[in-house]
Amino acid sequence: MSARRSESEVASSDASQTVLLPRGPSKALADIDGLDQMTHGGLPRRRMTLVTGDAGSGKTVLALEILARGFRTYGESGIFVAFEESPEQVLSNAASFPWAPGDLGSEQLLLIDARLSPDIVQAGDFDLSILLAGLSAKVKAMGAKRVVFDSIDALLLLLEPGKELREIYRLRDWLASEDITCILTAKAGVPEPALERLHGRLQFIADCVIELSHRLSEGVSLRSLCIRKYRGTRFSENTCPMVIGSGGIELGGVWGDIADHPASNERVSSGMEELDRMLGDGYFRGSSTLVTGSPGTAKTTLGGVFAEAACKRGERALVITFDEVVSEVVRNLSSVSIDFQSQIDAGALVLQAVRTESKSAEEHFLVIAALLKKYEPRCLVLDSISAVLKAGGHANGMAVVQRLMLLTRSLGITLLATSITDTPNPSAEASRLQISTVADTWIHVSYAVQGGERNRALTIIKSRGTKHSNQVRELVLSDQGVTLADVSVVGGEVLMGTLRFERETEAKRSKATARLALEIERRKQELAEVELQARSDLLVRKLELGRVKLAALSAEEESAERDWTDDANDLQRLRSPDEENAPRRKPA
Amino acid sequence: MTDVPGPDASSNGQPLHLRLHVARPGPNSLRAIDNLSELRREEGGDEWQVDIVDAAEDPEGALRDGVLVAPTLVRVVPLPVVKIIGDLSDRRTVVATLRQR
Repeated sequence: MSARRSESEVASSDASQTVLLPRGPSKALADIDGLDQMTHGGLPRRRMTLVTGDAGSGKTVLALEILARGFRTYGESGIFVAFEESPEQVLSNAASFPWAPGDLGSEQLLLIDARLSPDIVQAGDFDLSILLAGLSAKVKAMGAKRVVFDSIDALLLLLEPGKELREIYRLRDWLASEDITCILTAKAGVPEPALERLHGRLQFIADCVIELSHRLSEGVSLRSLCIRKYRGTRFSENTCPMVIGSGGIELGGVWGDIADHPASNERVSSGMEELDRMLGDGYFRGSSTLVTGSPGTAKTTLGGVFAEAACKRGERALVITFDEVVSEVVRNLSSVSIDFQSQIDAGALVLQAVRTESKSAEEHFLVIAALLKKYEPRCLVLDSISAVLKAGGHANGMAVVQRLMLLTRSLGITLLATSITDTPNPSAEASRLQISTVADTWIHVSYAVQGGERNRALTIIKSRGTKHSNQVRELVLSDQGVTLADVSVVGGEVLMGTLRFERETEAKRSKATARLALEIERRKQELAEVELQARSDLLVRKLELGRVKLAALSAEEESAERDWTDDANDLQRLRSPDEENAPRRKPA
Repeated sequence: MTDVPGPDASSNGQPLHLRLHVARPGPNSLRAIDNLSELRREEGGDEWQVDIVDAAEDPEGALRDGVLVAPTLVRVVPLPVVKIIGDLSDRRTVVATLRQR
């Protein structure tokens, strides 16, 4: 808010510049968290702000709070003109608020009883000039800067059609001349033509219109505030949930620029090594994680290990549990060796139980926001947000949870929220649980019933900005703590628990068998190779033998031939002269 | 409140004491002044005590007396105090109200 204040200071110091740019209206801060952000710096000075709403929507409280805080915070004295309730009633209705004007003097906050007595008689046209003349005198005497006309419609309705417009203009001109920030309150939603017409005219003339609404949803009161128009300036057009709490008007929402908050690359441990590995390296600092699952799937345990890990790192963790008893949570978690008690004793952990009964989602938001302010934790666990989601209508709860996630992000708090889902299929839940779109990480824990036992299967459905595992893991809880085990997949079926164990043993056995089989095959092959080698040796020898035999035979033949030729020559020589016809003797 | 029970107060009725709050020069105020003097003439109200108070003279006084709108006619005497707002153009209502006991 200080930033806003300095913004308006900057705007006023601009006047020294030679070129005068058209500027938006000068504004008066309300000092109500949220309202000053929605109006981008407060209500218009010297102009008319209309606050409308049904009976009981908080118009009078809002107007009076702006007036009272105007003096307490900014030293601007104010006048409250009550047209419908007596000043005593107005004061007593606000007596419990910290800003209650009971102790303020009439120089600081003046209440004027402007009720018309019920037996007043009207005989012709009238105007507000006496009231305004009186107020001018008071404004001058007090130096008042803010004036509220509460339920001015009660008076304006007495005027003939057409004349009320004249009086609204009169009022508008008066404000401008007196340098007054003015709030008019008027009823809305009354199906009465005269009132509707008046309402339309007020809305038309007012520079800023704030609409309050109040309804019941599932027995829970839901209030909201919306700025319908604001001439000449930026403003938030969204409807903002509102509560009339112990502090007066409290607006639910995230006040501060979210975009300004840098995204952190720092990782924080989920409290489980295996899960950290699956997530890349844990959760991002300032991110929000949603853990969904049916009852009993150890969602709380995941929150527990996360919080405990934070404490062990030396960070403060806040665990908010809904409708459970603190001692039971501590006891239950100790069964999986999560020691909350010693962290609580050391002051590192705050475990807060919140009752959900007859509280609106908006009230939950405010309770949680207050706890964050009080304890300033670095890690937050909400177990479970189903309670918040159910409070006063689903759509409303959803919006609140989303804002809660934005709030923790803006504060750099790492959030883990659990939520109960009824169906085993998480994607079927996705549309109903739209928070999953806001959460950075979504972990789903389900039961897998197989082979007569129930086991917990954990999957990371999404995790923004991280390379995360797409694998299903078995969440194993034991008195040694919490671990994740790889699951076995056989023929597309995931095995867990005993089946996984059997499968693992079986796999070990079959591995040994396979090793043996391989050895046998190798031996066989060796044998075959040896045999083949031997055979080929034999053949080579046989060939050699053949070759030798052949060589021996051919050598014998050669010598025989040679002998025969020599013998024939000898014979020729012996038989000459008739040696030509002499018959050749064949070698034997 | 001014206390006026005059010495001639009778069971029949005291002379009227009226105070007309106006904001001059507002048209409603000027019309009311005219309408009242005409009414006084017609009703034979010579005995009436009529004060005309302009908001400009004592702006806070009107608020103190619970007078908000201009014009406002206050019947101070006889009691109870009766207030009529408007420019008094609805004469029938004005007369009926002033006669009211």
